[in-house]
Amino acid sequence: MIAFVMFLVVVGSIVFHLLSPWWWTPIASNWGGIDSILQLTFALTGFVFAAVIGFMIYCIYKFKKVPGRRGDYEPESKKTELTLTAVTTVGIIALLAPGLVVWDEYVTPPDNVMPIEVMGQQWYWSFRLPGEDGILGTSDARNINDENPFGMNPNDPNGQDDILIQGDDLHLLIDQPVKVLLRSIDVLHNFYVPQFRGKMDMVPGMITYYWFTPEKSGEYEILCAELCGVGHHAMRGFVSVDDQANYNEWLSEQITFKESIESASLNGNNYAEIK
Amino acid sequence: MSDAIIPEREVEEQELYHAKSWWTEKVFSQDAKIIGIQYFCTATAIALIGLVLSWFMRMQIGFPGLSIISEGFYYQAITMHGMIMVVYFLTALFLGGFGNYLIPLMVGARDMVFPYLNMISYWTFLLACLVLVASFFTPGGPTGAGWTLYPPQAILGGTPGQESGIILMLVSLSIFIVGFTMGGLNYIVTILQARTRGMTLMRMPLSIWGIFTATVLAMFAFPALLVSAIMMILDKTLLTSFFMPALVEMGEQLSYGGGSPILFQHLFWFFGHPEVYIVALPAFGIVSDVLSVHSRKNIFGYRMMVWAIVAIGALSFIVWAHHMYVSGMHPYFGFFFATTTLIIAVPTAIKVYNWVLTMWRGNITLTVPMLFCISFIITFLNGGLTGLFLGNVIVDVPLSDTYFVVAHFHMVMGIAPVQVVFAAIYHWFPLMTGRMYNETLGRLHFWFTFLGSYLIYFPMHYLGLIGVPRRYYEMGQTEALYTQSAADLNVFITLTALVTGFAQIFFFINIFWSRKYGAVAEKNPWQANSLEWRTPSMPPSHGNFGKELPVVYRWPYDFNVPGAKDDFVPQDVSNSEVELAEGYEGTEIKAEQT
Amino acid sequence: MSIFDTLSQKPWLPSQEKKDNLHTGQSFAFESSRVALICFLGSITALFSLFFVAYVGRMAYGDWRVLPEPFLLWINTGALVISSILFQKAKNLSNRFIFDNAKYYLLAAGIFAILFILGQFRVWNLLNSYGYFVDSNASFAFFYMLTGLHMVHMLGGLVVWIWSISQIFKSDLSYTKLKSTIGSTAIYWHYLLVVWLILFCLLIVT
Repeated sequence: MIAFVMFLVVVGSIVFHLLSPWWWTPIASNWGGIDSILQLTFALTGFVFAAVIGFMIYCIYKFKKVPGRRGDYEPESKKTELTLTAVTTVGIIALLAPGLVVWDEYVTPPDNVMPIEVMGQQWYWSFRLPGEDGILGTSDARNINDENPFGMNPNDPNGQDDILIQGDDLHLLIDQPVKVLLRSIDVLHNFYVPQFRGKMDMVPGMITYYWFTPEKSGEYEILCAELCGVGHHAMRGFVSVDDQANYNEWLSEQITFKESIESASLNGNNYAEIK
Repeated sequence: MSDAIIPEREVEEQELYHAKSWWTEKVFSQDAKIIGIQYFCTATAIALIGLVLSWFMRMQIGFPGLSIISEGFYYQAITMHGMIMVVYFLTALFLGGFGNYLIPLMVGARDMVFPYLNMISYWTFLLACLVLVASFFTPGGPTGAGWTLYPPQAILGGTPGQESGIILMLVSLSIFIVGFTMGGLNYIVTILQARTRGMTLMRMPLSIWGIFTATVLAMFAFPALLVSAIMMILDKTLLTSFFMPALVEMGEQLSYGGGSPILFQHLFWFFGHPEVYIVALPAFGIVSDVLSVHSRKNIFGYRMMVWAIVAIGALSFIVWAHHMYVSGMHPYFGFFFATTTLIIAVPTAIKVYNWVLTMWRGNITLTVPMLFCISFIITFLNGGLTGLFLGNVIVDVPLSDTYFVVAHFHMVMGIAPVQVVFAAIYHWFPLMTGRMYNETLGRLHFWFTFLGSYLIYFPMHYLGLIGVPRRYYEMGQTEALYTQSAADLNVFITLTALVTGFAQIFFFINIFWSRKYGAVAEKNPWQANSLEWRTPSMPPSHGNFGKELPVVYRWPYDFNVPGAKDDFVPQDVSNSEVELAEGYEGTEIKAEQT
Repeated sequence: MSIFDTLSQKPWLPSQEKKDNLHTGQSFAFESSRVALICFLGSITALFSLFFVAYVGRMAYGDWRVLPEPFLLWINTGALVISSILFQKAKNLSNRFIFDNAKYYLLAAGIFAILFILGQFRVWNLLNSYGYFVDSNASFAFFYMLTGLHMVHMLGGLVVWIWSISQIFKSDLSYTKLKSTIGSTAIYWHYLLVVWLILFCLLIVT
């Protein structure tokens, strides 16, 4: 009876996996390699699970206690153990090798990436684009105040044309690789968009990164993926992947750092309202 | 010929402590068996608190519309649930509970070598529990920083517990570590120095190997937690900046600066990863023994099993940063730790094969302990295999901080070792009480627990696949991501969790009823070989073995030995005392073995 | 016999059984309390090593400031060295059960250790009066924390020392227990001296 139930558990698990409506989100970035390794790992581990449990079920069924019968006396079998160890090692290498290849790509952004700063704080997202010069200006948490919510270094000429998006949605140009420079000014956060697959913690006091190329237009939700306090679940946002025309239109509506300073000094501190 | 005279011990047998009053006999007992039961009771009590906290969490996740608890309480619940279960329940149960009860009995000693220290270690553990639970009643409540207590959030506003919770947590952990060091010294020294004559290290049951290795790990890993706790206490109270960089909290510049949150993570996980093996290794050892007895077959590949336990223990110190793949640490660490993590999968896999091969050509009785062993193998295999996903650094990137991780660690740390706990308690119940448990209740308990836990955590992996993050109070309005079907799955998981949790009542009823009214058990009812079953009485009295300590002549896995009449030969039976099977040609068992 | 040899045995073989039957049940020839001390020192080593790693790692950051070293630190170090020497003498005498002489060495050793601790507190006061507070800078924070931790361990040792003193001045001593305790405590003392010397070097050099 138990053997049968265990058999159902294994078969059920496999059927569940094949029929599951809960599957990873359709990929919208270049990291399809991760999905492939995920598939490979499912296949390998699924096979091992079925094989080992299947063998165990067979043992439970075949070697049930029967009066008069005795079990074997076999303390060890070098051959069996070595074979199993070798097969396991091969399996491990089969998973690890492609995994490390893709990881290498993940940590090595190509040359044509556009740097974008993602700034996290309790509990919303802000973004900074490098503007016309393609270079992000320097910043420091100690510069942060109401007029300068990004803590930009006012003396850095590269920062003057940086485009600031505070607490609003980010737009990306389709097929343009981006390197997200992740920055936090208070606690740990994590910039995660399931459809892009990438994520990395944002650590106050340092800049972390990852890169990806958005390959499918659409609107995707940002989820914070590192517990950051009671508002962690509410720290959401959206990323829109646009074609060139829509992207240009959106870009033209954004303000630069220089403009924000000018308007702040003119209107006196109206950044206090944006939170 | 075969039985050489075993030399007398060079060191005298230690004088056994005898209690003089009811207090020192029953309460402040120095008898390891009673201390072990005290650990069991306290760990179980605090685990029930952890279980109730999980019900609150699941109600919130399954039925977010009801807003049963506030955000603050939700985060406090997940933090306390995690810390209680990992440290105060599982570690204390396996090392303090099973360690204390089994070690002296299985190695043939009368008690631990430092009984007074042992007694103090339990009361220190109790104190640590009380300090932890006190944080529920102090201003601000317990900390809500997640069981991993990451700075800077753990000590900043926005995370519950700033008034007192985080300090009480860190103080409680420090007290726990001190207590466990005391206990750990006892376990290690007793195993090394107080074994009975003839008991070599390689004649010890695997339960002892598991507990021993776990204790050694604890002695080196807990200091890392103590280091991070001390530094975090100083950051919070004296405003030092060990872990705190320059930051702006809710618009206000703080005085901290220069510290590194990642340093905390390195220290924490240098403790945290060995910690999971501190829980798992005793489970591995115990399940090997219970499996072997109920399959009437030696554990397959005993040497490899010992090697694997030691190797896993050693390797566990060089894999910690697989918990930090997306922490922002230098990317090159990813290569190193992914490799070591997948290497550690090999000895673990060998153990799984050997358990199953133990059953091959055995003579299996599907007793309740055996059923739980089988469920351990299934759930541990499942959880271990999902570890391969997470250990491979790039695959961890999308899955990190999602329900995939939650499902993985519950399966492999929560469900699988707890199956072993149940297997062990049912298995040693006759020894500890002299009576048999109720079979029907035991089976009922088994089916609910095994099927329930599997149904809770197997589907949960798929929630992680779709990207549902962990530690979320609610998913909110995200139709694209969190579909209605996913919400329904969460409802299913919540209901299954409640039912499975309640079903544990069968276990408690069984234990409490059977110890008074269960059928009186015959001596060594499972016909096992190890020394704990060779005591004059069940339960063993103070001093364990009566007038004479046993002398050991063999390893504990002599089941179905060629030439023996019975299908088992206990450890303290010499070759000349073994009754030979009819028709056996040799003069002694194992004649054809070289 | 190395751990590899031990783990390669095949305990089920009759040939191995014969060898194993000669085993008396202990792994080490010395007494249990000594084994326990070694394990405990292993734990403390892990503790201080991790602190040292954190310290060295933190030093690399740009905001590291150097703490001045009051001369008192050298005097304290001297006191600790003398304490260890006296303790070793006490141990040597106890090993030969010459407790009449050992007790004075033991007393003196403890007094020098107490002087060390008082001296360390004085160093803290001095540094505070110069304006070097625990939260001013990472290097100061480490200094106070590491010296504080070392002192906590010394205090623990002094608790055992107090017990030994109370025993050694009694008329009906328990010879073996006292010899063993003094022996172990002496080793603990030397260990803490080594930890202090490493700590001191790290603090001076940086």
